[in-house]
Amino acid sequence: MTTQPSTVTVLLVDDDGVDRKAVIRAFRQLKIANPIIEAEDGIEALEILRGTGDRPALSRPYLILLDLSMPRMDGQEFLAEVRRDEALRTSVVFVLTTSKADEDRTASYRRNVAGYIVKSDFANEFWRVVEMIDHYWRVIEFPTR
Amino acid sequence: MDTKCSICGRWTTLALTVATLSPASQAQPASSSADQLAITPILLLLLACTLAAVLFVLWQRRVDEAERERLAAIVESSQDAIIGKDPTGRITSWNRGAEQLYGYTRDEMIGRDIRTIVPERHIHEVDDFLAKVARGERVESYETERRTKDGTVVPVSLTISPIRDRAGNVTGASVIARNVTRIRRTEERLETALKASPVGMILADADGIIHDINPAGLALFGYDELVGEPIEKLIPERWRNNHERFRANFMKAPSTRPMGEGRDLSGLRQDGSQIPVEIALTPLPGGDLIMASVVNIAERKRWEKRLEEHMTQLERSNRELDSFAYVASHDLKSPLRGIQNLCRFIEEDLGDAASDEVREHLELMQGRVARMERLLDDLLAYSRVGRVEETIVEIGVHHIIGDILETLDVPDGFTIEQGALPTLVTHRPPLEQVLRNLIQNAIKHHDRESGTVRIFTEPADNDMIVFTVADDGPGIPRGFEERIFRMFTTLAPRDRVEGSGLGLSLVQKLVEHYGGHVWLEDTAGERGATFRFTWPRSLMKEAV
Repeated sequence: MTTQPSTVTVLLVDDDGVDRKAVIRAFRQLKIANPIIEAEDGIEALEILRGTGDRPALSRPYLILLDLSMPRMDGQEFLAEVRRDEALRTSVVFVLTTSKADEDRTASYRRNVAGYIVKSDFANEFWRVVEMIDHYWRVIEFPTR
Repeated sequence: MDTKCSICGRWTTLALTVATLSPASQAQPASSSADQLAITPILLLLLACTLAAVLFVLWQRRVDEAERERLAAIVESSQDAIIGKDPTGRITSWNRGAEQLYGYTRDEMIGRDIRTIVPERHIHEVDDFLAKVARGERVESYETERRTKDGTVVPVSLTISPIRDRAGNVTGASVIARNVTRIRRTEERLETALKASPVGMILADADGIIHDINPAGLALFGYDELVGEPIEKLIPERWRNNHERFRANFMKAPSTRPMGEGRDLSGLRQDGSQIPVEIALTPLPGGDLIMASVVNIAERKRWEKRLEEHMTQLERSNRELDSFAYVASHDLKSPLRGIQNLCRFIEEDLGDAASDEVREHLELMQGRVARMERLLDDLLAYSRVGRVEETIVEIGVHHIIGDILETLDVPDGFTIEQGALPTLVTHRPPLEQVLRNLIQNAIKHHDRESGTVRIFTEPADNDMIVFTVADDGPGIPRGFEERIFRMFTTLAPRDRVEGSGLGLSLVQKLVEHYGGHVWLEDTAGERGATFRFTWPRSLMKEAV
């Protein structure tokens, strides 16, 4: 069908280490071996995307899983910056947050997120999310630039 | 009288003439019969004339008499006291009005001195009056006091005119006295009211000259006296010119109205400071004076400012509460979810190696975490009531209930009975929340395997709907009717029935936010709890 899946990198932006761990666990448990890069906040995520410093910019295709509440640069600020940036504006972003607030959801979709996912309270829920993402990149064509 | 007298005199003369002629004609009967014949018609004519004159005089007298009687009757019937006096002040006439006003009868007063009714302190006025009258001058509407027979001093208004004889000599004076007690009392009342009024009152004429100002007005502007001053003196300089123009416009079409509507007015005090004022203008009867009522609203302004500050503070603390609620929902929840996840990791990693006890403890841990999470969710919902913009929709209540039941996992043994439910124009989420909480409670707190929850509505006053959610569960013990609505209050241990204790508090807050109220029906100790609440039929104004 497509050659993409093996090459899609996941950029996981979340300040909570346990949450990152949970997502990574879910990927591993579902035997999905795509590379996962972790960032603790918006600033670190931008550095990874742009390749600031001595590391190279993250090569496409990639998919961003974004928490909203983070120190230094939160999810909405990060989204705004990504959409402003000519090189990054086509990024596929899923918001993965605890916030059920309408404002957050609306603001996220205004910044063209691919989906807004609320981390719910039940176990196995990360599995569902990861399963969804696995299906998503099997079906969806990613931007190349 | 003059002419009458002279006619009388002539008549007497003529009569004598007739008497002297008659014997002469008898003395010379034959000598001049022709003369006699000539004289007789003249005499007859003279007689006729005389007769006519006499009749005329008599008639005239009767007319005069009638006229005098008529005048006397007018004087007698006058409410005013009408008194005649001679140049020394001796009373020559005293009408009924005088009797009524002063209490003395006519007989008592004729011939007595006018000073009888003058209080000591006004005696000197009498001499002035008499002197004036002697010079032929009048005294008009002079306000003074007189003493009545019983000693009461009454305020009177006097008009004194000279009485002259035919030759024009002053022979006395007429005094018309009016009792002005009532007028004076009205004036005094007004005066007292003006003096006592906390409102500054200024009387000014068309040229803006102050004619009168009450003590409150003086105090307001910090002056001791302002009568005779221009009203512009009380107006801050930057508005002074405009005021003259406004005043001219007002005088063209005077009407009672507030001054400077929609603008903040200031008054200029003597010390140069300015005070915020509110002014009402009233044209006074007579048309020449305007009354300006001036209220110092500095205090009110201060309160308004303080109120505004409180409002700002309140808004700020509401915002803080809102962000607190957000913090509660997010920052407090994320460590919880961390615990939850770690718990699951441990469970997964231990796998079959976990003892039953470990497994049980991990489960309990998960339960507590879930409870905490629910509590935070409910707290967030509670704190957000009224601060979320909702859309007004037209929605059938049975739709709402249908959706609630779909997500509620109603146990098999339970039936939900719905009456004929209306369609409302309302905010859907809050109404759904209220119904969901009540239905959920009915099921959650039920003590049997099976039960029935009945939901129905009735119309109520003020275009409200009464909703009833009634169950056949254990009911609420007496004495707890109020308590159940308190925040964080449950009647069952949370290990037995999960709950944040916020469900009914939220129901109450939502219902009251929409102008309704919620209560527990008294079921007289029987099983079952019946909750009722009112909700507006439409959130749209009738006119829309």
